Amino acid sequence: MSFEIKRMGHIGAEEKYRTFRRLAYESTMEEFPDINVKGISYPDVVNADNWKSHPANIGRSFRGSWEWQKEYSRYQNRPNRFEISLWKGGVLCALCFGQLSKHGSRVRMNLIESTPERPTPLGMRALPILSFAAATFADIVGATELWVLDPDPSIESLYIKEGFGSIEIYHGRRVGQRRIL
Amino acid sequence: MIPDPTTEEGMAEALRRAKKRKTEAESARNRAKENPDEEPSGKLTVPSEIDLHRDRKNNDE
Repeated sequence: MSFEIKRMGHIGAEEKYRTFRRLAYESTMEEFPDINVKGISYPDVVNADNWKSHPANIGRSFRGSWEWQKEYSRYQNRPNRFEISLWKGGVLCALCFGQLSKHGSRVRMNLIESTPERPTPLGMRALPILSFAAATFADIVGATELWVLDPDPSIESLYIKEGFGSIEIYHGRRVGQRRIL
Repeated sequence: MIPDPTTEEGMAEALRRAKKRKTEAESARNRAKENPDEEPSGKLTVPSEIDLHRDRKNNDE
């Protein structure tokens, strides 16, 4: 296959999944009208990485293992990614990167972070909104399972509230929580 | 089957599927509004370096 054909295929796939994500955002905003739901841009990941400089007394002191800026370019190269950011009043409140599996049966939520500010400028918990949007994206692409991979074990019960099962092995190599759609 | 949004039928199917989750919306809203500050702030997933590497290679199912 020539480079040009591959490139055109990539552009077509990018357009297709961008449409699916837009439909998922619109559907989510209809149900959460106070929240602005969008994709993720480079300034957004810079913004999220700056959360680490929030004073520990108004947020968390612990930082996870990844930097959003490093992961951003990798996800942008995947047309079938799931990406979402939640905003309230122009303030970034949460974001997530994930991806549709190779065979299209699973949508994975790989990286999730919410703002450390308290009270939260979102005015509500982020996880139910992210989970609703990801399930909607999964419905559109015809996936039958939604997974959160490598969930923080201390909040297993919060994922269970969103319809996910207990922590189990994913694909034989890592852990996740599965929601059957 | 993944719909083709470039066709009228495919777009109609995608829109139909986008509404499937609406029946859960009210309970999701209620959960989101319940104790909004009790959700832990920060990274809600904790991938190891190996997990991040696997995701970057994009080679798992």
